[in-house]
Amino acid sequence: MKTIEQTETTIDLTRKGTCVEFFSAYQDLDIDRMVNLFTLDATIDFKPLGENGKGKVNELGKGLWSALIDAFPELDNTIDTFNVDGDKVTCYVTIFGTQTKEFAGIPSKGLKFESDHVFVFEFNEDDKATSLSVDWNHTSFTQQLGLI
Amino acid sequence: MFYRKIIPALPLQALVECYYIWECGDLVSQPVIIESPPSGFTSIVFNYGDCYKTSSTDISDFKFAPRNFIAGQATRTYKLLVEGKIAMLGVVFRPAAINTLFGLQMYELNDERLDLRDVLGKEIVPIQERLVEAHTNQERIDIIDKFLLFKLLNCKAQPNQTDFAANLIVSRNGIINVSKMMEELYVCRRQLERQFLQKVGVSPKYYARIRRISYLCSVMANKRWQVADWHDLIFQMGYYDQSHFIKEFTAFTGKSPSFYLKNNFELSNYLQSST
Repeated sequence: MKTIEQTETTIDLTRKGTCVEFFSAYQDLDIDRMVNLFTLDATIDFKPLGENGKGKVNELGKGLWSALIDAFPELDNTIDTFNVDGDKVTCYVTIFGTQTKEFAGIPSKGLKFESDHVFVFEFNEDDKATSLSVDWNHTSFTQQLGLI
Repeated sequence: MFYRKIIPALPLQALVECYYIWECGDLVSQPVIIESPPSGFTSIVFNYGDCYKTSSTDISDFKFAPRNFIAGQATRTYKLLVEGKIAMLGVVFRPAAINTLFGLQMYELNDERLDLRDVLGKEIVPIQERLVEAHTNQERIDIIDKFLLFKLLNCKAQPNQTDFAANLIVSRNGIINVSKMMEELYVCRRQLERQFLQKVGVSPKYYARIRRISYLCSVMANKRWQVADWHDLIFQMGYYDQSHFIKEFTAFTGKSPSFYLKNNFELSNYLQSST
């Protein structure tokens, strides 16, 4: 029994490391590095966007992050803490940046935003991320960018 | 029941908050639940009594902790289920000290209790054996003092600005403007946050929240869980308002403040009721 518990713990450690690597790549604005941590068919769900926010990491995820980085060239993040529950690792992260271009219909007013995000990574037995859901307070986000 | 805190040797005091000895002469015949809010400190526990169970969830799914373990930053209240022979020595480390001494990535240890041998390797085995064979608590303290002094002399890393920032948050009981602190320390936000995650396990702002809850719980314990003026306490702790305070308290402890006052199982409460 002890061996099983230890094995489980070792898996958790590897997975937390993957999450840290994801946010490190995010800080470096290196989308390929971010996406390479997922399986080819990994799914993504940007929760506040509803059905439009659901798709594949290497399609929708890549596209949205590219647009985000284009509009917020100094985009940055802070990992606050993690929570491990079975195959899921929940990361509580602050995302912040300054808008320089239009993003998702929001015209640039040169404003800054800082927003608490919850990223939930799900992993398979090989410790590859198979899905990611991202949640944030979208009303607060748009308000900070000057959209009332 | 015997619970005592001990100050470590002087050169270790920058890294070790204290040692503690927790023993009970009689066997604890009925299981006892002890709960602990996040303290902001990390620890190594050498258990020479019976193994106990722990749980960090609301549903109390207790699992055996390893006999001797290293524990990272607790980000929520945890519970112990003790029974039988209680006998242990704990080393309470300052927030960044385990990383400084042992080079561990602290975010890996959050809310975890990992077997000491698995983490530190064979070098810890003779220490564990000598602690079991020791006849007095002073002997045990001397063994730990010497082990940690040896580690301190041989470790490549030295306490740096992250240790300083983390200890500053501790000394201010988490009641601190972290952005302002970073400005005053002339440190780059991204660099400090990265190092903080490695050395403490969480971000500086999150750590300040943990430390503030820890301090608040110690203040309430010192008042023997009798709070006459909530508004005064909330103001002293630097919360914006009552709503912010309740939200924070519940997030870390899983209980509302008023419920916690009447229904906590903290060790000091247990010691008080068992004497």
